Amino acid sequence: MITRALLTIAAVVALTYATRSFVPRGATITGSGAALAFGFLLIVAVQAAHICDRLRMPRLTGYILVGMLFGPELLRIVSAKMLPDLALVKGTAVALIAFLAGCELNLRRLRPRLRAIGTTALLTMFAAAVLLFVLFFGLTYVIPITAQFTLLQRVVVALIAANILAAYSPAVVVGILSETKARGPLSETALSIVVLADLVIVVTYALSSTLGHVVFPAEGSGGGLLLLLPHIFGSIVAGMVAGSVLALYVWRISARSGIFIFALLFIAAEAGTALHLNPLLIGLTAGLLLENLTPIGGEQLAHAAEGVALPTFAIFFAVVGAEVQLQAFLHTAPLAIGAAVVRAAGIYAGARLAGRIVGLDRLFTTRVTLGLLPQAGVAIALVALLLADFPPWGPIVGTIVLGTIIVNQLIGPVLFRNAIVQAGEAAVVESASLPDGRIADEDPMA
Amino acid sequence: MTAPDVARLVVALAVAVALAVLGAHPRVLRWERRFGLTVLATSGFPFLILGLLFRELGVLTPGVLADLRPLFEFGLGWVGLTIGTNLDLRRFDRLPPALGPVIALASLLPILFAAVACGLTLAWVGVLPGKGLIRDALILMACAAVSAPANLELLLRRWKSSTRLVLEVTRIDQLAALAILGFVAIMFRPDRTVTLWHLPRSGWFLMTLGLGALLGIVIYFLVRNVRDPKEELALLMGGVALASGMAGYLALAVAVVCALAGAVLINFPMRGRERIVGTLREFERPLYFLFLFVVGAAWRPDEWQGWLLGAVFAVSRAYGKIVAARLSTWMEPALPEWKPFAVALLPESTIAIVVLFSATALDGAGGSAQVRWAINAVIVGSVLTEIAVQAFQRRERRLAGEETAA
Repeated sequence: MITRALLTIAAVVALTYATRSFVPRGATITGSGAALAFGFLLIVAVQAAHICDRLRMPRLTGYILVGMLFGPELLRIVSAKMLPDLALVKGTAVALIAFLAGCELNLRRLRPRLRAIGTTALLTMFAAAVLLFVLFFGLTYVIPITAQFTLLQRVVVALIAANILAAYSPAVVVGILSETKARGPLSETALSIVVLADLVIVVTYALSSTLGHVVFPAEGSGGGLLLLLPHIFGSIVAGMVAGSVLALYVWRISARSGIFIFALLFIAAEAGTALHLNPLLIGLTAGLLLENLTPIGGEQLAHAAEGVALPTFAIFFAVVGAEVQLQAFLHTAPLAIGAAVVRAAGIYAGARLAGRIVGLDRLFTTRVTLGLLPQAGVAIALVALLLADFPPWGPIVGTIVLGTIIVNQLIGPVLFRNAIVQAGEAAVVESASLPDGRIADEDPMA
Repeated sequence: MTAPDVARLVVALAVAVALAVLGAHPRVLRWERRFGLTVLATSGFPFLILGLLFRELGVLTPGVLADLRPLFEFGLGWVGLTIGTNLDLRRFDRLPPALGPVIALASLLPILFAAVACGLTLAWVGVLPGKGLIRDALILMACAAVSAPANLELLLRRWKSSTRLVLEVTRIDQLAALAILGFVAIMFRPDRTVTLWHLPRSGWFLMTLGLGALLGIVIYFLVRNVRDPKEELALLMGGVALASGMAGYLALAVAVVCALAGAVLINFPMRGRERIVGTLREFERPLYFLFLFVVGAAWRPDEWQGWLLGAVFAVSRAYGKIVAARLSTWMEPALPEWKPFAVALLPESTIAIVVLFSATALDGAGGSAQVRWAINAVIVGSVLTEIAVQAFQRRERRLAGEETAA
């Protein structure tokens, strides 16, 4: 299987490389270049998924590595000019990922665990943010540009960096749960926590960024609090409209639901960009509405969307990998690895504390922690805002933050998938049977 | 973006979704089948109008169309691959050899008639050789070739054995249209100074054939042993995107290269061939809506040249189909009478939209005046043809009622 996958990758690489020689190096052809990159990444990502299956690694890691390897920083089969055109898929992917997450979250079923979920989400984020704040505050004395800042300015720099790194990744968690078809308390708890935490992060980043614009008045022009309310509530309203349209479609027509979901989320993502709405919130609200407030149920729609979910995930994570700035990462690797370790320690400490407060099993708490380590879409989007909004120091601090995200991006999915398999919740993994023959854990929260 | 812009965008997108919902409604599909209507005449026309409206409202700007270009290329590739899968040689081998000339006549005569009539009209309105006459005449020829079968159950009720023949004719003329499209892409190459490959036109012809065949083999190897339908869809999408991206990158006709790939794919021995064709067809209809939407944005109904060209196109194309039907029935007595046979072949196929869309893409977002006239010609031609076909079918329905009563 691995040999076949490698041969397929070699053939597709050769074809794409030959085609790229039609125009001079550095040039591309709008439209065709993006279609070529899309096809190339999708085929190679699916082959990489086969290799990852054999190596018992998460497919998501394979997708990310494909993007990194063939992206603009290494082999350059996918050039930097092709990537912006693929953003069309990225926005839709974020909305689809959030939609699938919303479809999985049945609030009635989660009610007995809501206290544990809320406590764990808040304490893990808070503990990680505090430790990261301390680390970055210390770093502001070392980084030349921030060393001249006032105390308040240093506090704001550390606050913004800590805020971004406190974000989790619903995309990775949904991706891992989707590829392993995992079901059970660990899956549901991890998913609920990352979704809840991302909502909090969107709000707290707007607050810390507003503070940043007050302390650094000359730099950029961020959104601030005035934009926050329409941004959040507008997204929720748009999500409710999208959910209602989907419910109506399934109720009255039903045929080609998967394509319709994709088309609707594509429009939501495109219109959302123009209207400054958040595709994540739109998708999540639509999914939650369908699962909790309509008789249709999110599960049916999530199943219908499975066909389009695989290519969307593969492209989304491959593009995320291709966007990684490896050169910058290598320069800041020790700092980034240190920050990733500090973040993991904070999350673990927060989870243990939450476990003690709400009475969670220790092993379960550890496994939940592993689901909170990955970072991807939201964190990267926030880094992009940091780079754009705070030009003199933003790119320098942003590079360290991005390096930390890369570490979490590569290690997080592997650890979480392993935790899912160990917990016996993975349904489609060949190696899901535990090595010591144990059966799946019982619900420690019930 | 200003508040009115935002309001326009939201209303426009809401209308697009609503129309997509209506277009996919089973009742609309039932109407199409029952009355022998084409997609163009039912759910397609609203999309065309919508594209026109969106341009007027400033929603479908050249910037938006440029952003969506990867999606269009992918769509062309998908439709091309689907058309290519019609070229199953095993099916053609089973056709009686005497029907070969009939199929050739039915496909080629309308092309010839439309070429002469539309070429003269274009020259009369000032499109001379060297100023796009040949290219525009070729585009209209490709549009003239393709037909969608009318209500065959009604029209051929006394010649049921001919139904298959009519269906085969409509499949073959799709390939004739794509061949013309491929020829246009080979003859009218982009500026040689910006590319690194400098081949003669015969080289590009071989390149088109070779690339299509090679990509067919690649897609075959990708999907042949896949058991998971989700992975099959992902690989099919990847294969189509790769094929359309490569063809578009090399400035070849995307739909043609992908049709060749589809033809190669379908003729290989493969498990689950029907499932793959089914998947391709499932996504085909929404893609036509998308194309109609974009073609609508380039449509200018206020240009009289387009209306004139439309009338000439409809009449010459219909005349070509009628002459082909008369000659065919004279050559092959087993065929139905020429009138129902000609009417069965008359409706305009959605492939014309692919041809027009490719021409619009070749010309950029706005499209040249001639391409806009060609769009008008095909739209007007389709509507006129549809009216004639429906009138004939109404008469046939009445006759069928009398036959049943007797």
